[in-house]
Amino acid sequence: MNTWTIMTYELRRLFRSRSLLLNQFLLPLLLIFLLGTSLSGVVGNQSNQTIHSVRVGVVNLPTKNTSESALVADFLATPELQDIIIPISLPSREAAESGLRAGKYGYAVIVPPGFDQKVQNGEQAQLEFILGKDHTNNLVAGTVFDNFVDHINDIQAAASILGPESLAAFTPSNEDTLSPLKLGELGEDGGSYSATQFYAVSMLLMFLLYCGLTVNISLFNEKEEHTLFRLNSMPVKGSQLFIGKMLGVGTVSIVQCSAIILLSHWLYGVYWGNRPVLLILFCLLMIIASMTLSIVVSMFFKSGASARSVITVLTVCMTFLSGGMAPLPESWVNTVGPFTINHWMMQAILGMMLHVDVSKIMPNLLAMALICVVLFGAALSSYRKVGYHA
Amino acid sequence: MRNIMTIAWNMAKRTIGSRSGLLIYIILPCIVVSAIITTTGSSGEEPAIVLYANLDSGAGGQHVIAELAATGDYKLVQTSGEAELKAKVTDQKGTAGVFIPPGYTEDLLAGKKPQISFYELKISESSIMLQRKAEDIAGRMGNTAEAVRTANAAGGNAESKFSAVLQQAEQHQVGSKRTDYNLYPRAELTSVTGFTLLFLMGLVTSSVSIIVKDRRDRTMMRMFSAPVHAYEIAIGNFLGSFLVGLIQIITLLTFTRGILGYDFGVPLYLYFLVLAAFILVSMGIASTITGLVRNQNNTGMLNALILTPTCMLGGCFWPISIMPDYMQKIANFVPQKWAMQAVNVAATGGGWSELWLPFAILGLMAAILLAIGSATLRPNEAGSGV
Repeated sequence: MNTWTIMTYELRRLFRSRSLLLNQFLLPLLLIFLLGTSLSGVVGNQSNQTIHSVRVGVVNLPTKNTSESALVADFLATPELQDIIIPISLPSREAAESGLRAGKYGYAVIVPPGFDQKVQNGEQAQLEFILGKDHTNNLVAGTVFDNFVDHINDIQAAASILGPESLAAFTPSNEDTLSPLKLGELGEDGGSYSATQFYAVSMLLMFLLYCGLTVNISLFNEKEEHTLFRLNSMPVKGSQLFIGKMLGVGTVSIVQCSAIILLSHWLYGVYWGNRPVLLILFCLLMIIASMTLSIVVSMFFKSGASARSVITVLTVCMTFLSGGMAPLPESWVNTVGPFTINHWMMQAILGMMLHVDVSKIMPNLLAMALICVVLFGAALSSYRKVGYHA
Repeated sequence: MRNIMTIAWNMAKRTIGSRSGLLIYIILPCIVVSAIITTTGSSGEEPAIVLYANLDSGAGGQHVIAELAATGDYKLVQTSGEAELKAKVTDQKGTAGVFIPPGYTEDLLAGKKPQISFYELKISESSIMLQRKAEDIAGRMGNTAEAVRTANAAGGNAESKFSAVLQQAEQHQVGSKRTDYNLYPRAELTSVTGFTLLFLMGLVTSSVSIIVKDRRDRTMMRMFSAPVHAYEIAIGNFLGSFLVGLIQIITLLTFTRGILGYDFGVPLYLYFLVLAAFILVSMGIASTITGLVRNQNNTGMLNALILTPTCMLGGCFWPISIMPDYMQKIANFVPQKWAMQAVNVAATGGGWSELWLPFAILGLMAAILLAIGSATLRPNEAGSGV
């Protein structure tokens, strides 16, 4: 009965707090939205993306024996290029170099004398590209000019093997062409998975770990406000008080978890897989793991602030190391990742999204159950040792 | 003046003087930043792992793989088939997967438009670049196949001709030479700066919330009974959180520059100035929020609400340029963006003629936010708070 009272009071208190609502419900949705929109825009609609045009310094000069390269000049005059590249003719390589250093141009292309002749005679020919100051400009201009050089290379190869009459096929046709590449469905039976969903999973996990903070605040608030003295003087057992609080926080976390899953599904169309029961089970395990972890940490620290920061650090580190925050090299994700709780959860939920066989998810369930048992044991023994009193 | 220094120094001791404070605000940033430096830093970037399965028996499939390998940007790993490829992509064994279907070359030569499948688990800058590259290679090969078909209209072995052309193309007789004067900022500088800003903002925020704690615990009242002026307390508190931030960056810079010998590619005093300006803005943000919220626990959480999203928007975790246009515009309101931009300008050797803009914006943000912050937080009043 006492436990029940404490739990309902805890619930009432938590749901009344504005910061909880903001942090546990609004923030995850905001982050999923930010991640989704900032990263998906690139791939979702490539054609609509406005690429800032790059100013490219071009050194393409006639010499005594050779004229300037018509291949390059023609290429630079193509209408499709106008939005991406602004070519600027320069008198010398030195001018290009100093212009790059001064940031006047984003990229420079140096055409060696006699480039066209060499290409037509089937000899070696090389354009020189000089990288500029901006990473993105280098990528954009680099892609454009690499493709151009490779295209000429193809023509030269075809001309030398098939004869010059084959070149007609290389003139660009205006018929609308099917992309030679398609995004494959990772799912086993066509579950609609999009690569931004990955971040929805990682954010959900991060916030389930953050519910450890609520545990911590709930425990330390009573101490810091000195209300625990009063509670201890009441006919309530310490364990009842503790369990009541944990039940309250646990309920909030469950509500939070379902809110994130449902709202992200309705608002942003995140698909959470075909096994709702298993998903719920995993999320419950994650909540247990994060709460028990937080209990262990809270028991070992005297001040709430330092316990809170340890929990925050653990949460951020685990999310980061499981590859959920910023892209990490694969070797890291596979070697350090398994030491984080997120890793096991992430794999399992991604598996559900991709409709993989249950037998592949089971090992993760086992791992999560094991983690929970260990952490629960640790929480229990640290509670026995330290207890919850003022 | 001595009073101010006492208050400021006391604040520094309270935030980073304790063992846990030291761990989180000084040691952890050093570890994370040096981890970024050692994994991506001077040793050169680790090539992204690309998984592939080539079920095509002809020259076409091989050509795609050979050309991808020729870029030198990827480490290609073969898998047995589509199922294994998908499984490995799902297990994050590689950045992305490329699947070439059986009969790809035949279909190409028959004038059908076969498609290569591209698999990715999560979007990243390198997966986007890979996708474009593969698309280009396959697209060009379609043209070559077209040429072979026209040339072969009279009859003959199309496949051997196709293969010969592709092999010739792989020689890259016409090619390019990249001259790299290292004008652009080092690739990992963005992540290094990004995470430094993240930690810095975290620390400054927590130091500001101490002011609220003082008021709640009535320590502020005691301070007012001591022979100090109200303005001394206010300045002391703000100076304290500035000092704490300075200590963090100085340790971080000494550690990375001095002990690891990492070359930022930026004049160190400029880097320091950017971070110092950023401390001021963070203080402004933190004091504005804490002033509005008042409850110490809530403020900690509210700051988290500001910290991560602004870092994401400001380009601490990925380059701003890959975000859609409207997001890039929103990013202009985030101080991290300007700090990153200042570092980038400095790294590319830009002088004050370009640097003044990001610095002016940071300064303006700091001035406005600190003004609002000191109005709402009122560190010069005792008050009962809460």
